[in-house]
This record gives sequence, C-alpha cells and structure tokens, in this order.
Amino acid sequence: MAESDTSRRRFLSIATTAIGGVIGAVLTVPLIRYVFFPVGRRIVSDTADAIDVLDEKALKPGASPTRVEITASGVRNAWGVADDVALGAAWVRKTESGELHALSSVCPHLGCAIDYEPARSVYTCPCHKSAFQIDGKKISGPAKRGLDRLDATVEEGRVKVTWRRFRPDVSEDEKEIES
Amino acid sequence: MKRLLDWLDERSGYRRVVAQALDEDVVGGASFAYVFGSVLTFILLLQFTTGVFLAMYYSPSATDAWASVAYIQDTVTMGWFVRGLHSYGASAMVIVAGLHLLQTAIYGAYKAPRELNWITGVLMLGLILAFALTGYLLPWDQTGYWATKVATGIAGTSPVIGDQLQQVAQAGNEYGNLTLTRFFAIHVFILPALLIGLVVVHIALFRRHGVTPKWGRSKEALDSSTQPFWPDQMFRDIVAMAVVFAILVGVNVYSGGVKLDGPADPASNFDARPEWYFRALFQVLKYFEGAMEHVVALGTPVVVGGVLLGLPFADRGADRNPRGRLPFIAVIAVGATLVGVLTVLSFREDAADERLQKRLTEAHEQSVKARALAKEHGVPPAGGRAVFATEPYYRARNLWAEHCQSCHQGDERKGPEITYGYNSRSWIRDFLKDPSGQRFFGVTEINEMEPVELTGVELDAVVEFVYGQTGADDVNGELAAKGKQLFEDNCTDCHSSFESEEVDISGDPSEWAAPDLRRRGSVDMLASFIRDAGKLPYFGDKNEMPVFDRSKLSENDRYLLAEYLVWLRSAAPEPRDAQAAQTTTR
Ligand code: FES
Repeated sequence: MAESDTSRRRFLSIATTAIGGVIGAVLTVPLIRYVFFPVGRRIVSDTADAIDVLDEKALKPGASPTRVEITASGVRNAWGVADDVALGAAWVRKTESGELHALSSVCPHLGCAIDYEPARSVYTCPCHKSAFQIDGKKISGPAKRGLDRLDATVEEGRVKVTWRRFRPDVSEDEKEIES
Repeated sequence: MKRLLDWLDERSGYRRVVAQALDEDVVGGASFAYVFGSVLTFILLLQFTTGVFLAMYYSPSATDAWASVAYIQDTVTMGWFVRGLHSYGASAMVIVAGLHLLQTAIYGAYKAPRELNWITGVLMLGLILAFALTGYLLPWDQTGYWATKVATGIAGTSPVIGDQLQQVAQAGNEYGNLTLTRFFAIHVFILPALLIGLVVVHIALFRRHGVTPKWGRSKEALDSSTQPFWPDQMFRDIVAMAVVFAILVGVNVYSGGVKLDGPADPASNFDARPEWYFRALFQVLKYFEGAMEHVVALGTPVVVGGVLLGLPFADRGADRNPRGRLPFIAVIAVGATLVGVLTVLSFREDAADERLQKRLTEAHEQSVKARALAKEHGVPPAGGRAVFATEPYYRARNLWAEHCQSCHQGDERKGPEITYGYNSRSWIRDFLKDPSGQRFFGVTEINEMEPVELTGVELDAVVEFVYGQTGADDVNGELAAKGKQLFEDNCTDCHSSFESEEVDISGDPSEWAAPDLRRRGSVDMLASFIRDAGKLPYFGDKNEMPVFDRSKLSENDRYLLAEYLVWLRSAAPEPRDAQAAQTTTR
C-alpha cells in the first residue's frame, strides 16, 4: 500500500510538472516572438527622397552654416501615419567655391544634436564635448569619426537634402546601416 | 545546480516556503470538485501575463487606441494570439468563477466558519465583471464604445448622484481621451491591486479552513482518506488547467483570434451589444420602460450581489446536504436558470432580427475594410475613423456614391454599368457585341447602335483600337492600327472618322449621330464628358446624363472622378477586402 502510494505519487509529480511545462511552453514561445516583433523592422519609416529645406539664395558662399529641419510626409510610426514629421536636422552651407555641403546634426559619438560656434567656426557637441571643423573633420573629443555628410542638391532654386542615419560610436568604415 | 539551490536555500529558506505551500492535507482525499479555485488562479495569471504583454503595444488615447489594437491584431507577430487569449480568457474567467460559485454553493461550503471565504469570493466575482466592463472599452472599437456608453449611461440614471457618477466614470462630459486613460488605469492598476489583495485573503482563509468535502461522510472516513495536496490534488488541478488552456488556445486559433470592430465612430448608428455575460441584464432591461428601467438596471446587480452575500447568513443549519437546504439551492438554481434563459433569449432575438443581422454584416464589412486599410496605410493622426480616408480614391469614391452610383450601378440604372473593369478590353468587347443590351445603352433611349459583327482577330483589332484611346500603356500598336482600318471601314457612318487630326464640332447638336471616340476613356476626355455629356463631340441632343458643371462638381472633383474611372479599368473588385476576409474570420 505505502509503496504503491509512493510510486503513484512519483508518477503524479512527474506528470504534474510535465503538464505545467507544456502549458508554459505553449505560452512562452508566442510571447517571445511577440516581444521580438520590432527587431529588424522599420517601425518608424523615413524617406529616401531628397527633402526640400530652403531657398538656395539664402546660402552665401563661405558664410556660416545654416541649421535646417528635415521633415517628411507619409511617415509611418508603428500604427500611425503622419505628414510633416520631423526626422532630424542638418547643417548646410556653401563653400568658398560655391559647392553645397550638408552635415547631419546627429553627433557621431552617441547621437546628441551638435551646435555650431560661429566665433570659432567649429561644431561642438554639448554632451561630451566632441568638436569638429566646419568641413566635419573631427578635432577632439570622444567621437570616433567626423560629422556625417548628407547628399545635398539644388533643384529649381531650392536646396534639397537626403536624410540618412548612421550607426553611432563607430569608425567611418563601419557606420553604414544596411536596411 | 544542487549547490546553487542549497546556497539559495541557506539564505532565503525558500524550500520551507515551497514545502509549506504544497504541504497541505486534503481532508477526505483529492477531488476534481476542488479544481475550480486553482483554475481561476491559473487564468488570472494568464490574464496578468497577456495583459502586460498587450500593454507593450497598446496606447490608451482616443486617437491611437483603435489603431494600436488593430496593429496588435493584424501586424505584430502573434499579436492576435496574445489578444485573443486575453479576451477569451476573460470569458473563461467568468465561466469558471460561475462554476466555482455553484460548486461551493451546492457543497454548502459557505457555511460557518467559511462565510468570509464566500464573501471575498463574491466580491472577486464583482471585480471580474468590472475588469470585463473596463476592458471592453479599451480597443475603442464600435462595439466597445457603444456598449460602454450604455453602461455609463445606466450609471448616469442613479438617483441623486447619477450625473456626478457618470462624469466620474467617463471622466468628463463626453467620451474622449480621459475616458480611455481612466478606464485603462482602472483596468490595469486599480482592479488588479484589489483583486490580488482579495485573492491573498481568499487563499489564506482557504488554507485556514481547508477544503469542504462532500456532505454526509463521517469524520473517521474523511480522516482515513486524507491525501496530500502535492501531488494528489495538484495533479487534478493541473489537468483541469490544461483542459481549460487547451480549450482557450483551441478556440483562439480556430476563430483566428478575437474580433475587432471598426474604429469607434460617434457619428454612426451602431447596435450596442454587451459581452455575452452581461446579456442577461441587457435582455431584462428590454422588458421595462421609463423610470422602471433605471430601477431594474441599477437594482438587479444590487439585489443579486445582496442575495449572494447574504446566503451564508440565511442558510445557517449544520447540514450541508443540498436536500436539507432546498430553498437555498432553489434560489441559486432559479437565479442561474434565469440568467441562462435571458442570455439565450437575447441571442435568439438578435438572430431572428433580419435588419439587425444586415446591419451587423455591414458593420463587419466596415471593420474588415478599416483593418485592411490600417495595415496597409497606417492610421492618420485624426484617429481610427480617419483610416477610411486613406483608401485610394477616397474622395472620388464618395463623389461617385453621391452623384453617379444610382444611375451607373445596380438594377435601377439609367445608364451603362460602370464598375471594376470599366473600359478594359473585355468591357469594350462585351460592349461591342451588345451595345444596346441591358448592361449598356439598353436602359437608355440612345440604343440605336447595332452589335459589331466582326469576329476573331478582326474583333480583337477593333477592341485594341478603342482600348488604345484610353491611353493605357499596354496597347498592342500593330493590332490597334489594324483596328483603326476596320473602324474606318465599318463604323464611320455614325462615329467621326480619325482621318483628320481633330473632329469638327461646329455641327448641329440635334443632328449629331454618335460620340467621337478620340481619347475615349482618358482622364481629360472623362473629365470633360462628366461636365457635359451633351456637348459635341459627345452625345449631342441625344444625351440623357445630367450636366455636372461647377454648380455641382468643381473642376478638381471632376478630375478626381475621371482618375478614379481610369483606375477602375485595371482594378479588380475589392482585392483588399477579399484578402482581409481570408486572414480574419470574424
Ligand atoms: S554625443 Fe556628442 S560627444 Fe557624446
């Protein structure tokens, strides 16, 4: 009696644990997939289009850079879609020779927004004091590369900038984000 | 592993805690009659888990709630599964709580000294229903929105404090952002806290008093058959949990997840229906009018709650055998039967109401469309309802429905049928074979055109030629050139010849034989035709279609319509709808 009870209880213990395990697994697997859904997805979309930022005449060759906002329309953000969404900002200028030059305002160190100091003609980051030349080359600070150049063109008298994001805190060679 | 656990036990003494939790005597032996409480605890944990995970993607705002739930339902991996478990889990909770209550009542388990077990249980049943009520609104879909409006409306009819009560419940004068944030906070913070508190008390009381074995067994018989909770009772518990869980998962997978209605639309007519467990109350209200309705709506829950709470104090005899407690058992039985009958009646009445069924079908189609659009285009900042405006040619479709549809679609048409495939090759072919048939000009007085008698390649050629006028980019030029020749030979008695660049429209509109076919079906031609189909080179005085000049349609709207008509040419009938219907069953 006692012995059969012991073996019966051992069986019940094992069966109970096994059933519990199955329930747990049937629940856990979907939940893990659910949590990892956003990984590797463009939950917030941006745009590969060149974005109209300002009148070309506003830029004088050799003058200080101008800060422009990059906004896009039809931007998806998880369930939402909206127009005139700010994607980020850029610094644009014309060089002495009249060439258009645009830099992302995202600091290549850890992503703070960089400022321009006209008195010294340098870009500085308020977060960890990285400093960059007007052409974007790094002068000092923890950033591992210079400022990121953005494509800029002039179409029908309007300056257009193509917005891109790069990997933070890596060298120039590793900064591309493949989509 | 063993050493790690030893280390842990030395510091925390967890083994004693676990042993104490599991080591309990089940007097009279383990039984499936006792599983309900454990199953409820299990479902509760399931609800907590799925609820927390749902909150990961949910946004409680009037503009985002529906969109975020639609996102969970249709876009997030396994989102439909998690949401379905949570929603069906709520139903399971109500059912199992009901069974738990019945089992306890039949066994007379509420008798002294277990009155407090029963009272905390009844209070928890109230909390479960409060969970259901608040959770129903959170998706901000049509059903949740309208049904909850009825519920808070009922609260608003309470004597004296009704108005304040309603404003507190819905947070303000109208349903909006604050209603959702409030319901959300109640649903995910306040109710769980209260419920956990009561569960702890309920289980502690249960541990203190132990199970209530079946009536009529002697103390000796009970003691001699006592079994330990672990594993004897736990095994039965987990088998019951597994059964309930399997049913939940089965129903969820079989139904493709729980339904989600279209976004809440305060401007719509929607038939508010509560969740099934409130159907009995919903039904009972149909039998009362005016002030009585309010009394019943507010009174019924109070009476039911009062009767349940009072039960242990009314039924005080020592005998737990149901036969000795017939009046009390009868109260429970009559109550349960009444709820059952009313629930069935409510569903039966709905099923028999054809107009209601039709409206429900339409509402379902709206929801399928809204979800498909939300998945494809996203929901604009204005909120759920704005998703309909993301449909391609949204404005044109509305203009079409307002100005064109009654004459160009359906059985009471006054002009040729215009729908998907309008001006496609097959449409043109059908037309040429039967221009004065019912589908085309047969419904008008302009029905003099004879069927084209060409066949085979020659017919193909004329079709291609006419098709080419639309400006489509897939025209076979060679075939169309051949068709042009056939056209010149066969059709120019009535239609103007293409030999000259432009058609001469200086003629008399009353003498005009047939419309010129140059650029027929192109955007520019259609916009101009819509403006005035009676001017040359279209139908002249034979025209029957109303003029849509600026007093009816702006230039822009005419072009929108024309572009829509051109789009119809290569569009298949509602492909999105068919697709969405496949991925969702409800
Ligand atoms: S983020 Fe700019 S220096 Fe660190």
